Amino acid sequence: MKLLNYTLFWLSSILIVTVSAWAILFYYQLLNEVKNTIDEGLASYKISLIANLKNNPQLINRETPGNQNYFLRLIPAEKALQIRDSYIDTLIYSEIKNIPEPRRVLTTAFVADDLYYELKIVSQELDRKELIAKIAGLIMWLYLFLLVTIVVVNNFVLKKTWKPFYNLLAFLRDFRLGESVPQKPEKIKISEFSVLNDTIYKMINANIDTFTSQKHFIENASHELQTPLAIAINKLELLAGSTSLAEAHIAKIGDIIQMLQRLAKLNKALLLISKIENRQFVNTGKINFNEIFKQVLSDFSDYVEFRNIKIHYSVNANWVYNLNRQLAEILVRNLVKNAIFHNYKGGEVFISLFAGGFTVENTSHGPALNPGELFKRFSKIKNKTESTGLGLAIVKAIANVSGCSVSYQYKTQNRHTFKISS
Amino acid sequence: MKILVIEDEPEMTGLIKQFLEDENYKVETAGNFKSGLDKIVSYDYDCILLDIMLPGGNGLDLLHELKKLKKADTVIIISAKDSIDDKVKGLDLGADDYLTKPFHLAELNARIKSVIRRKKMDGHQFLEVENLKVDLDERVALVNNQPLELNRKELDILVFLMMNKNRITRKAAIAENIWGDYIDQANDFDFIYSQIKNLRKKLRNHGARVEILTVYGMGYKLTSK
Repeated sequence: MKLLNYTLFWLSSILIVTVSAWAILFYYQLLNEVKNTIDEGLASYKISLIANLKNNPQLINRETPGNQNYFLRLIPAEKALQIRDSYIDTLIYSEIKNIPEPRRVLTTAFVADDLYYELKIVSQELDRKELIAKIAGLIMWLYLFLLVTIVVVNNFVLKKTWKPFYNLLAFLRDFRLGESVPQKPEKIKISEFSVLNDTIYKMINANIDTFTSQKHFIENASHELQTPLAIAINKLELLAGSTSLAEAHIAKIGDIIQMLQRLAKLNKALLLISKIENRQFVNTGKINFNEIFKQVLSDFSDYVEFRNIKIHYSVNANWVYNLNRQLAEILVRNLVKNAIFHNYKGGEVFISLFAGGFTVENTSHGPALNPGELFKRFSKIKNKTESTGLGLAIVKAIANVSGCSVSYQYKTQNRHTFKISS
Repeated sequence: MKILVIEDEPEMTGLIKQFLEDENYKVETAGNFKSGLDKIVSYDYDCILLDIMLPGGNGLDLLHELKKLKKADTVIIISAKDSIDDKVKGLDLGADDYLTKPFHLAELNARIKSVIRRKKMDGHQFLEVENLKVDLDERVALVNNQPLELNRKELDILVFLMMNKNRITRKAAIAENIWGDYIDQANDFDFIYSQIKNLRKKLRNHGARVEILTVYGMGYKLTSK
């Protein structure tokens, strides 16, 4: 939920409760006020009516009053003396409307010519339903009006207030270490946001410094280590080419070159892990893994043919994942290479691509591997001395930085399965 | 053919010079940014081998200068920095190729020959050893002007060996040249053997006066019979 909508939701919820409570209070207060006014009206009408009746006795003797404003009844003196003025709400049958209507009635008594009368004066109709409806209607309008006000306030005032916050948010969302250059934050009037901006700016700069120095270290290490290795390898190549050497010596030189090449490979793999862990592979995009697998499998096709390995490639659903293309290729290549390399001649490899990842499964004479050790650096399988022992560590590093998980499973029939899933 | 090597490591420069001179190139060297720039401005070369990390400047800037001068020299970047960014930047700036250290000298040799060939668009380019001839543009091999049926991989291997004739070409170098960098992870180059075996058989059957020798512990060598 967006901040603006969230505020709006809570403000309108609180408002509906307060406005409703206010409406109820208002209704009773108003009703009371209306009754008081009616009662006062009835009381003054009573005084003039009694005076009128006393002056015109013929009105008293009329059986039915001309209108329904009042009712007269002759009562005994002792009963009349007990009557005090009282106001009550009652229902009186309306001949016009044919239904009982709520009215306010004043009951009083008076004496005229030594005769005691009970007088009931009926007020004008008091329609509570209508009153409630009117009030409810007005309150509704008030509520809507307040709501509109809040929306307007939210959109104009709050948006303006939170603008630096949203700017910061947009900046952080688009920020990529190694790609983006942070701008020095502008001065903001609101001190909280100003502090937030400055803190984040400092933190990002510290991060960039670490990232850059690490990146330079990796580049320098690469340069400083690879150059002497390159010189040594190439010098040995030249030496082996000189005609005066015996075959046995050339073979020895070949061994040394191979060792140096292993060293170079190891160095390259370690630097690759450092680069991955330093998150130097920044350009990510939607990677179509079906494409990558096709490419890698075609790259290895000669080797696969040579080892007489049968590849079963099935695509249940294509997996498209946000990743750096190079990393995706390294990931797939390492797993496919392992599946082919740690296989026997005439073995099988099963690759299955599904909506949330893929599995690479291979046959092997080897026993189940220890999943706890497998992904660690330099965890090697005995008698495979040519391997660097870093292939799966690289896979793990890629999975870690890209938010995938990698798991290993050993099945019967000597099947080893590696699964990558998002 | 004149080649300029711009590289700050004297040992590296020395051995590249020695190797290329054996291949009958004229080789000049520059050890830093400034002397590299001087040579680029003053002379024309068929190919420039350019290191990126140089004392006094970045090799990519040198490349930029070269392109500003509108010189036709081909450039191969040789760098220990295995960085895709540099590779892309270098190729964008107009480098013809990019080679990561450590590289095989055989590979360097093949790359130099390829970039020079690509630049010289005058007629068909042939590789010739004795009665064996390969038309690099048409991609056909001929023995005594009779076509030799080779598959794509076999032809690639043959071209690579011919470019490095009379030199030991290591199996790893062949694998990387034909199948790409990633194959160095395959750890086992015996599978090249089957290709070589077929190649030898075809050459023999067609009466080519060249042979591919096995150099134990190293690789192969193509020589005249």
